[in-house]
Amino acid sequence: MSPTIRIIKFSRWISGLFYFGLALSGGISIIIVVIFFIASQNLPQVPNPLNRITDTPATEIFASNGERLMILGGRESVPLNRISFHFIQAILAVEDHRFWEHHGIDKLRTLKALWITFFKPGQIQGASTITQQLAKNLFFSFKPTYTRKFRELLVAIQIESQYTKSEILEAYLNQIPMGIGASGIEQAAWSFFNKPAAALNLAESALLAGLPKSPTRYNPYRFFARAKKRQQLILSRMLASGFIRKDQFQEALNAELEFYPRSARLNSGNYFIDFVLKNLEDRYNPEIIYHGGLKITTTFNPQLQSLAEISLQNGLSKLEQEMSKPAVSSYNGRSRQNALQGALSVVETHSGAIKALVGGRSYSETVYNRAVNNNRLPGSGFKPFLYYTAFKQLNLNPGSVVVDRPVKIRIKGASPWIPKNFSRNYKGPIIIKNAFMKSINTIAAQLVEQTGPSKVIETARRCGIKSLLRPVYSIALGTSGVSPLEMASSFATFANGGVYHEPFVIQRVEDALGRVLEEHIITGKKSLDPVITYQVVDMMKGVIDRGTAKIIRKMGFELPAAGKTGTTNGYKDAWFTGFTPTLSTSVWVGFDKNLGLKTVQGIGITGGRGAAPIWADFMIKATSGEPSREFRIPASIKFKTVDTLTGQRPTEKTINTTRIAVLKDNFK
Amino acid sequence: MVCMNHLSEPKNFRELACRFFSLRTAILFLICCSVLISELRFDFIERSLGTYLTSINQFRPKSGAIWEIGLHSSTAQKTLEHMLSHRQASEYEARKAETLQQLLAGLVPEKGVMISAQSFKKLFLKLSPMLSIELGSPYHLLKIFNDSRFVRTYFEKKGGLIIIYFLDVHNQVLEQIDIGQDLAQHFQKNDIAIKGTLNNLADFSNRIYPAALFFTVIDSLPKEVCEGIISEPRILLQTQGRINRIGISDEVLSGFIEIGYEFIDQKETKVVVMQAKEWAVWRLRKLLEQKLLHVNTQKNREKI
Repeated sequence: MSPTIRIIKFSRWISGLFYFGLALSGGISIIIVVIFFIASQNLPQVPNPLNRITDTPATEIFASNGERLMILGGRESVPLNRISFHFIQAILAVEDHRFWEHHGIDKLRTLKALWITFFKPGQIQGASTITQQLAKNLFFSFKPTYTRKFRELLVAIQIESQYTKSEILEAYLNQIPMGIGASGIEQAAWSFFNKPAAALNLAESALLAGLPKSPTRYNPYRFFARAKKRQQLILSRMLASGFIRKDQFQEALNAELEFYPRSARLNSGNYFIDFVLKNLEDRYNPEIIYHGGLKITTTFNPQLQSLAEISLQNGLSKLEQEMSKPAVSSYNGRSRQNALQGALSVVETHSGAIKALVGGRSYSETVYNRAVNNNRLPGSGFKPFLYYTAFKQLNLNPGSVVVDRPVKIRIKGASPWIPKNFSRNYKGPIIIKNAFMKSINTIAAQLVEQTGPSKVIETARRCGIKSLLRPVYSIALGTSGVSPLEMASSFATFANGGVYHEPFVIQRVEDALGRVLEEHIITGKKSLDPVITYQVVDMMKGVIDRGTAKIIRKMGFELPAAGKTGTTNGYKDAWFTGFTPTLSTSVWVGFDKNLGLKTVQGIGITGGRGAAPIWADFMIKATSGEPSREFRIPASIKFKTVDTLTGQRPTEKTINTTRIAVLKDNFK
Repeated sequence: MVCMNHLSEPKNFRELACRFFSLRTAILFLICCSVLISELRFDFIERSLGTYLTSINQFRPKSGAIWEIGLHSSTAQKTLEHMLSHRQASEYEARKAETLQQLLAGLVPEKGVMISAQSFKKLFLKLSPMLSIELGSPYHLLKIFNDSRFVRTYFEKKGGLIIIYFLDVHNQVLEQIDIGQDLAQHFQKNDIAIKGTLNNLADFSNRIYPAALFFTVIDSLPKEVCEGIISEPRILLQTQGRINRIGISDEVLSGFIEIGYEFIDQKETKVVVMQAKEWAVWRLRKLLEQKLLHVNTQKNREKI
């Protein structure tokens, strides 16, 4: 082939390529223009002014002391000049360092990202500018599709044309998701450091600037090391961009971060908040709760909650150490699904206000609230209802003599019920108070046979037990499931001289302007006879002083208190519910799956051993500094000391005596 | 000449190079570069697109997350306003009420109203002495008014009852007065007597006794018990007619039991309802039942 022909061919190829390129570019341009016009018609309208996006008021949940516990929805908007300059620099350095230069799209960064996406398989490079992120957050889902990306890009271009850079940055900083329920930098600054956004220092700013990438992954309360590493990266970028000097970099890196502990508490136990939200959803439309800007004052006591969480955690850890190896390995291993669990609920006796709720070991592991939803057998913890009923129906008193003996109760159409004592032996004649303190099952069975189960259920209902209770004789031994909250509130009726207060968690609901929507009126209902109630309370005091829960006194709890232990068959549940004149607390310990609680030696763990120490540990701290107050003694009550076997005045032959509370009329 | 002839194909490499590096190509290249650089520098395409999109902004749909939140928010606000306006209206009515009867008449079931302790006191003092006695024992009310913790009063209509709660600053109920249906009607009519007989009043229909028997029993009771039963005899004395029968209510309201006195006048029969202390009524009832049994036994013997 001659050179001339070759040149002609080459020339033709070049010009062909050129015209093809031209035609292709033209075609693509036309397609882009058509797509643009089609897409632009369905693009969402951009609000004007842009700060309208921060109009939605937040619903705030407060503790009883006024401390803000949580913010739902809404945003706290602050102008740009009330946001720490360090934070602005940090967020720009990490998210979009050419923010002040581009017009919505960082073309160079986009080209680089495209190059990496197409030519480096497995690697993905983000190129979204702050404006694009704002567009995405405001209008689009987080599903990564090309259509969404294109529409997001168009909206970003419009936002850049319509608003100044400062307006865009302000809008972005006020809506940016920062985790733990905080939306926008002002909320985040308060939630993490308990200070306004304006007061954030360099170290705090760099840490917070790392959150938008993944608020959960970099949550400093849960993953501090990871969050700290990201803080370092951000500081490095700030240094590279010339925002800070080397000495500032070092100082910020070494600075100790003082996190606001409130958020940590909430993060580790949101059972209470869950319960509050459930209560709210029963009363209000979710739209009002999450978008209405309500101010909800709850009965929550952060200090008691914190103490309750610590006591339960410590108590369960100690129990784990005592427990048999197969069980320990099952919950010390990788899966904590079968871990030893516990629940604790605290109710104020004179009002029914729920002060603390711990629904399990860790909210982050299981959100199932055992303090409220668990329906576990209370065992002997149910006996106070039986003894109250027996005193009322059978005209008995704590000094009445009963016989601890083998019992066989015939049931029509079923095999007879043969209850057994935990100790497997029988004590013979004994006064009722001691039978109660020692939790003797055969006595309880004899009493329920005489009163009938329905009367016992009636008493439990009067005290606020709402769970399904089966009218069978074994109800006396707690064979129908209840929750720790029910136990705490029903025992509060005994503490309160027979007056029942419905447990409540919401004190007051206001709208954003402070107008009251509802407030709780603390009404009490006279449910039990105060004199008989006191006789039962006195027996329950005996449980703590000398009975199955005497460990409480050994642990150093000195205030007047009463309660009852409960253990179920096979040691599947260990309970202790007890009260002082001011607080009623119920503790449950067990496995979610019906496994028994046993020590290394194979000894079953009872309520007195498993739950009572947790109760004592919590109550010692919760009532610290509280003056000693006795339960109110009705005027018609007198005390007398009797022989525990005969119920009569002690004689020379008497071995043991017990002080009992009896009616003046019975006083001889 | 060869270079200028752009329509013909280049014959050799020199001609091709000549065309490639011509002035025209250079200008074209510079124009392309300047367009590209100026776009990179001045973002004119984005600006034009942005301007266009801004111009059609108002014609586009209000869709997307932020508008949905806005919609939820405005719906929530409207619902809240509706709820609040109802509540505020009833509280305004309560505050505006000139008399306790007016306030009680305005109560809606399951929706209470709150007024200050002072307002309640004012309304209470406007009640006629007879009605104020019916509301509760004067000593009891004096005790409530004297309690420094008493700051607010809450009224609630619940299952036919009107309940008045006397509250402290934490909304803890210090005392409560339950007003039964009959007494509530009584209040609303601002009338001491209810037209009709005791048999028409459900609360009393189970325990009706002849007046003669009642007075026989009253004569045998100690003075303090009689005062517990009829704390204000003046009310009964002021009512026209004579007492024919008395009825004892089945319900205990905050330590009180209502007694209905059936009066027969020349024109009509009416019932005056008064509250009596629970413990006194129990004694009265016990004796009335004994006497009634005795009378019935005697009657039966006489028949035989």
